[in-house]
Formats: sequence, C-alpha cells, structure tokens
Amino acid sequence: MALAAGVAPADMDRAADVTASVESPTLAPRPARNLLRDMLVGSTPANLARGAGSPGGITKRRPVNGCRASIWVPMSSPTPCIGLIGTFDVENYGDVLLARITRRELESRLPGTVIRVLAPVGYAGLNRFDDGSEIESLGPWSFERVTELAEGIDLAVIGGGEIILDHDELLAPHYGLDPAEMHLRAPSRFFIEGLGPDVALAWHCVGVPQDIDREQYARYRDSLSGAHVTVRDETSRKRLRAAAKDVDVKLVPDSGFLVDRLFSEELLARRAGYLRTIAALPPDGVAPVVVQGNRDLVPFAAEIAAQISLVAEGAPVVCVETGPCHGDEAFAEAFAAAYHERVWIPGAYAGLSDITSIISTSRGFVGSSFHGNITAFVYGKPSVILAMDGRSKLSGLGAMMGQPQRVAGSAEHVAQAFRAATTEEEILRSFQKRLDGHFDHLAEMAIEAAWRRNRGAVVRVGVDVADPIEGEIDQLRTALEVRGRRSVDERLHLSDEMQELRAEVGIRGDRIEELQGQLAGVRGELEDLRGTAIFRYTRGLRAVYSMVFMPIRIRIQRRRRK
Amino acid sequence: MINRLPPLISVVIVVRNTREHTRRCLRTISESTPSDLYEVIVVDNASSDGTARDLERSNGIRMIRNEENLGFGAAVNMGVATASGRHLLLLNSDAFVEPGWWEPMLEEMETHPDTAAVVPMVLNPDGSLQESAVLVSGDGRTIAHGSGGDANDPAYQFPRYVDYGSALCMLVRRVCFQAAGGFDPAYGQGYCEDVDLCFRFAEMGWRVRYEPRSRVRHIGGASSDPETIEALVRVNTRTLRAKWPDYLSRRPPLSEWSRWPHRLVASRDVEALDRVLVAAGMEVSHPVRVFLERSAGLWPAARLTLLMRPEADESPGLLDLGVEVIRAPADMGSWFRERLLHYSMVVIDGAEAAAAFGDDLHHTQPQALCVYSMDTAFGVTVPRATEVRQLRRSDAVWSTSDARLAVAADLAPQALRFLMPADGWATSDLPGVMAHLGIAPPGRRKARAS
Repeated sequence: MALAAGVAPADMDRAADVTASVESPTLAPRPARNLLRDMLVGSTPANLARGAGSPGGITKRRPVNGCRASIWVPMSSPTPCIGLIGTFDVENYGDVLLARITRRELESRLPGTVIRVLAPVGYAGLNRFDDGSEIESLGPWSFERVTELAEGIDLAVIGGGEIILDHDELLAPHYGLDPAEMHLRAPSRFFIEGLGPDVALAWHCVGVPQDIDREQYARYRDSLSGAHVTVRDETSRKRLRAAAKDVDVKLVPDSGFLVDRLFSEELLARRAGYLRTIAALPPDGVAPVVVQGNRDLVPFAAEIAAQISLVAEGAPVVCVETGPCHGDEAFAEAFAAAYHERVWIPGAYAGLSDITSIISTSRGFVGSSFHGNITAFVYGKPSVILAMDGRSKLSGLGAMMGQPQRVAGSAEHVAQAFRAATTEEEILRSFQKRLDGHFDHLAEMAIEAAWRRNRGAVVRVGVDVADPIEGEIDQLRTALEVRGRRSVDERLHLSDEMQELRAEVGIRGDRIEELQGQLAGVRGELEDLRGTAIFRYTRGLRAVYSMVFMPIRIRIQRRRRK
Repeated sequence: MINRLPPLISVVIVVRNTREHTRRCLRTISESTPSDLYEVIVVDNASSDGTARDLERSNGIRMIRNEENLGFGAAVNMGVATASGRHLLLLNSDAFVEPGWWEPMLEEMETHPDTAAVVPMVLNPDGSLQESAVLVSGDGRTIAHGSGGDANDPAYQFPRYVDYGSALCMLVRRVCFQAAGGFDPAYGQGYCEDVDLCFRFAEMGWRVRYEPRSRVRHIGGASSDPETIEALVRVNTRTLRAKWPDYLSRRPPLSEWSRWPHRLVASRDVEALDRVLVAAGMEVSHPVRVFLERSAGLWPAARLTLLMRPEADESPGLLDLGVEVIRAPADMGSWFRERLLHYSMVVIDGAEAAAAFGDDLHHTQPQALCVYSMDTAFGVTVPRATEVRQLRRSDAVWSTSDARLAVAADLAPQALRFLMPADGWATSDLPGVMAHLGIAPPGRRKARAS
C-alpha cells in the first residue's frame, strides 16, 4: 500500500498516533502532527495554507469482495470528475454493459464522484440496452473540443472493447454512418490520445483488433507514455508492445466478468417473469438453450440449428439479439427458420437486464457474442464461443477462461464444445479479484488527478481507519432513524389511546346526560304526583304508615337477607 | 447524420377499449406540451373497439399491439423497452393533463437527483380533488389523500415526499425504473404494481414526490368494471402484503380513518421522522421565516408546518418550498386533536403566537421540544403573564436580542438560549443549532446499490 513520505507502516496500526510530515508544492515541510485528527476536521495542508477551515469531504475506497485496499484521502477540493470514453452508444449488449459495470465500480469506490459517459455520437436513436443514463456526444475531434472536455475532466478512462483502431471508418457500420462521416468525427483520436497532456489517461481493458500501422507507432508512444494501459487479451498486448515498447501494458480481464454485481437475483427473476408474461420466453419449467449470432453467421444458420437440436435434447430454444448493430436480427430470423421447433425471440423487448436474466437461467449459451459468453461463464453456465469468422478476441477469450474447448471454429463442433464446457469458479474469482485491484487503481488515479489539478498536497494514509469510522457513522444514522421511528410509533400509539379514551369519555358523557335527562323526567313526574289531590289528602295516612309499618317492613327485609 | 437529442419524456399509455378517452388524452398532451419535448408510445392490450386501428392512423405515435390482454404492468414494461426519453410519463388513457403540467414535474426531477418519480395533483372531472397522492395503510390498502376536498385548500398545495403515487399519471426517471426492474408481473392484470414499484424505489434509496402545481383530471375505472377492479385489488393487496410485511408494519392502520382522523396525518407523515411546527401570529418574523426556508432546503424529508392566525397575511414561497401552511381553522380543537403528539419540535414565533396557540400546543404536544422565539418587546403586545407562562414551558429560547435573552434567563433558567442573527441562521450553522435541539443533521444512510 502506498504511503505518504515519512509514514512508517508500523504507525499505521494506531489511528490516533498516525503522524506524517507532509510536503506540498507551496509549503515548507511541516512538523509532524496528528494527520488523522486533521483529516477528520478537514484541515489539510492546502487548507492551512489558504487559511480556510472549510470542512472537507473524505472519500474512501470501499472494500469490495474482501479486497481491503482502503485509502483515506482528505479532500476539500472538488470531487474528481471521470470521463468514461468508449463506444457506449452502440446498440450492443457488451458495450453498454461495460459502461454500466465501470460506472458502478467507480461510483462504489468514489461516492459522489461525477462520471461523464462520452461516446462518438451519443444519441442516435433508440437503443434497447440504454437505461436512460445520459451519454454525451464526443462530437467531431478538434483541439477546441478536446480543450473543452479537458476543462472539466480529471481522468479519462478509455474503454473497453475493441476500440483501439487506426481507421475510424471501421466503426461506421456499427452506427449506420457513412465511413467518410465517421472519418471526419475521428473518435479514434479521443480513444488513443485521450484529452491531452493535462488529463490523466487510463486505457481500461481495451482490445486492439488489428496490428497497428507502423506509421502510427510514434502516435501511440506519445499518447501512452505516462498513461495507465491495460488490455484484455494477450494478442492486444503484443500489438501494443510492438508500437510502444517502453509502455507497461498490463493484462486485465474484461470488466464483463463482474456482471453478477450489476443485477440482483430478485431483479433477474422478475424480468424473466415479465418476459414469460409477454411470451418472449417459454413458460417456466425446463431451462432453455440460448442462441445468438450476427450477420456473418447467417450462412451457417442451418448447420448451427442442427447442432443446437443435439444440444437442446428437447429443451426450448431462445434466440437473443445481443448486437443489433452487428445484424443479430438477421441471424435470429435465419436460425428460427432453420430450427425444427419453435424458437422464442425476445427481440427488442429484451434489454440489458433481460439478456443477463435469460443467459443466467439458461441451460447454456451458444453464440458469437463476447459478452454473452462471459455472462454465461460468470453464472456458471456452459457456453460455446462461435468463432467462425476467425476473430482473435473470441479464441483468446476461450484461452483466457481456461476453456479453449468452448471455442467452435466451425458449426459441426458446436455440440461437442457444449458438452466439453465446464465451470471454473476459481478462475472467475481470480478474474474478479484482479478487476477489483484494477478499479482500485483507477480510483486512486482519479483522486490524485483531481488533487494535482487543484494544486493541493496529496496525503494518503494506507490504513483501514476509514472503514470503522464510516461504519460507525452509518450505524449512528441507523440508530437515530430507528429511535426516531420508535418515537413516532410510540406517540401514535399514545395518540390512539388518548383518542379512544376521549371517545369513551364522550360516550360516557352522553350516557350521563341521558341518565340525567331521565332523572329530570322522573323528578318531574314525582313533582306532578305530589301536586295531586289524592297525594295531599293521604298525607296523614302516609305519615302513620311511615311511622308504624315502614320500620316493621324494613326489619322483615333485613331478616330475609340474613 | 446530424446528432439528434433524445426526447426528454417518453409518454407511455396502455389502452384497452378506451377509444374516446385515449383520443382526448393524446389531444391534451399535444395541446399542453412542446412537441420536441416528448414522444408517445401506446401499448394496446387487445382492444376490440377499434382503438388500436384508430391510433395507428395517428402521426407521431409508436404503437405496440398485443394480441391478448397482458395486463397493465407487462404492457408498460413493453412500452418502456422501446422508450428513449430520459423520463417516462406513465399515463392512463382516461387521464388528461392540464396546461402547464410538465414544468413543475421536470423541475423537481432536475433539482432533486434522488427523486425517482413525481406525481401530480389528480382532479375529478368536475374539478374537485381526487387525490393529493395516496396514503398506504398498514394492511396494504390505499386511500386517496384529500379525496373530495377543495383542490385549492393549502393543505393539499405543498409539495412533499410521499409513500406512493399512482401510476395513473407518474413521471418516472427511466434509469430508476430500469434499475428497479420495471413493474412486477406478479400483479397480473393490474393494481398495486405501482405501490410495489414505489416501495422498491424507497428500498433503493430514492423518493417519490407529490407536486401539486402539476395537475391532471382523471375519470377512473375506464377499462374495467367495479367488481373486477375490486377483485383485482383484493388479490393484489394480498400479494403486496406478502412481499412487503416490514414496510407495511411501519404504517398506521387506516381502516377506520374517518373515526380516527389523526391516523391520516400520521400516515401522511410516516416517513418524516423530524416534524417541526412553527406557530406564528399575524406574520412570521424574518429570522423564523429564514429558518423555515433554510430548513426546507436542508431537510427536504422533514415535515415543516406553519400555523398562522386566520387573518394572517399570505406567506408566498413557503408552500412551494414544501412547507405546509395552515391558517388556523375555525375548529382549532379538532385540528390539534388530529395532530395529537405529532410533532418533535414546536417553535412559537413571538408573543401573539403564544397567546393564540400556546395553551393548545402545550396540551397536545407535550412531547415536543418547545422553542420560544422571543422577538417582540416583552409584555407589550400581550399580557406579561402570557409570555412568562410560555417562557416557563419552553425548552429553548431564540432571540436576536441579548437583552431579551437575559430576561429569558431570569424567568426560565431551564431553557437553552440561542442568540440568533438578525437575518436568521446561515445554512451552514443550522445543522449545529438543530443538533443541539435534537434534530439530526441532514444526510442519509447509504442507498443500496441496484
């Protein structure tokens, strides 16, 4: 773990005693002091220099899946802004998935960070995989545009996918654009060169689909010196090293291997239920075989269909379209026509979570989609990588997963490859661990870049102090909320009782009134009776009765009661 | 190819045999909404009265025709799958938006990023109030808040966070709808799926907001008969209860709400754990008004109520901030009984307020922290005894004057004393002041990831 200069690892164990000397570009070295206390009240060297005591936000990296690489960085500067640049506007499962996963991983590590997603065109019409998040258009490349973007972005994260191309025209078919227009837009200049020397650059698990033209070598070398470069397969690494020998190119698995963090099981189940309701999936029961292909596989549709019937063994078959931009619809039509039984085609109603749901609950996946196969692998499903077009990324994927047997270079090998596919939990976990480390590094880069641009001192303390404090704050909030709720409930309960008592008092009051009314009535009757002649005339007799006979009567009643 | 922008709003309407209503619904949208702001997606659930045929001839509508009735939730999900707007307007075919409906709802979405959905005030065809959002009872049933009331009554005029808003007209952030997985097909043909969605939003750390400046008229029951509706509601309420037992257990039962009106208020404010009542006289003093305005910004989830004398001046702006402004009704006794033990803090703004409301507050809010804002010359506007009594009942005293605080110290030594700036507390100072009074600083527990 990287530490600020002068901080001994042993000191990291006792948070209260953490001290360090800090050097900033604008201050003379300061005497050691309690950095942790300073962090908590927001006084950083930069703040002290400015004389400001503004409370600082503190960011931490969240431990993810057991990776406890926590770093506290006191910040009173604006939170980092990350530009996520790639082909995320293409109607393709993998491209949109990468943007979602990357955003999620960075946001979980850098709460409150601004992440701008930028793509060559932005919005070009309906995209069944987009979820309503904003995708900005990079616009045609120009120095002005680069400067404009660089103003507000601290770290440019390029990727992933096979976007490192020297020839922009190759992207045109994916957008339905004229090659000349794509050439004018020149998105490759953003992808390769980033946003200029003032913006930190990270290539994020990119693919290099073709050998780099020799005359472009210098361009790559210039762009990548100082950048953090990661590629997703060995072939891409070799191609880059050929162009930029001195650049450290790391191999990091594709971010798609974190797809199981994106959607909860409950959500995936709900989406499957919805798809069954609209008859886009077979009724619940036997798990289906999921098939996918692009326009290049249309000539092989019949052969693939024959192989699928061997694989399915009577199970239903679903054909998904992960890449409408690659002509998946054409393959789906051709396959459904060739298959001997009904094929369920969710079509345009299946978005990102739906495709994930379908694959994750399938019997297995057979397709040319890079990320379709990764999704199957992540969810422990067998899959066959249809690599009939000879694309290196597909055969490379099989090798990377430790599953070269999943790769089918021709249709006749599909059934065999399906049966040979195995699950590799250990490999998946190691991929996810490496990806966690990679995203941790990107988060560090973002923080450092934000600090550097604001000319602040970077103070990093490599201790797991953040977690307990943040956890305690969260617990306190929870306790406060629970107490608040309990108080509200108790008051409502008391209020209920008081209202009931009031109602009861009201009822009894009414009853008392009623009885008083009756009493008044009886009294009135008595008065009337007393006013009668017979009452007056019998006064004497009544006096004698009460003197002589009443006492005898009372004595008799008492004896009876005894 | 020119770079196009997506429409801001995708209007999704599910129709089934409501030809005339649907026409009117579409007409009111087109008449009251800028055309470049929205797109319309209509999902027809196997209408047999020619609705679908009719609509297919209309320009600018994207139609999805289902061969059988797939139910409301699934149909909406299908419509959303083909939407490209940043926000979705879920709209019943028998709901007709009023002019100016969209600005306040969009403003809410833009200014509060944690708002997943906004619902408007819903009116009956005759203009009376149908609902100012909906209350959810502990048994899963729902009650339209304010039904039959006066739509212009201030009681229904302030925006607030709500448990649940009906999808008969609901502006939803599309990214939230997708992250929540859309409507749950478990609710079949319809009813309660929107309650379920709002509960899921809350679970994920988002909120639903009621915005009364936006209005819509709703006929109701257009696509089903009352018996069918009742049967569906009964079945789906059971499903809701089974799915959300903990969430529902926090809600007061509302089965006899007419007998226990205090439960309606409790239900309305069930998620507002911090509740502050400011009692003022003819007008709110400047520092207390600033306190209300800034608190509304800092604690949007708190319930802030301003109670004024019946003849008091208007308090422009406070309603729009989400402050409940009440001019004391004739039957103050009932009003206070409905709010028995309701508030966590009561601020009495000046001697007039103490004279008008002090005794009632003392009897009905004994649990509340009582703050007396002492900003009039002592013993001048009301009898000295009234003020002394109020001081002695108070837990805290605010004043912009040292001299008055000295008087308070002498007469009510038990009370905390705060010297308030003449312009009211700055936003940055308010959390500290409120913490001393037992109101937690703003900030929420971390929202769960999707």
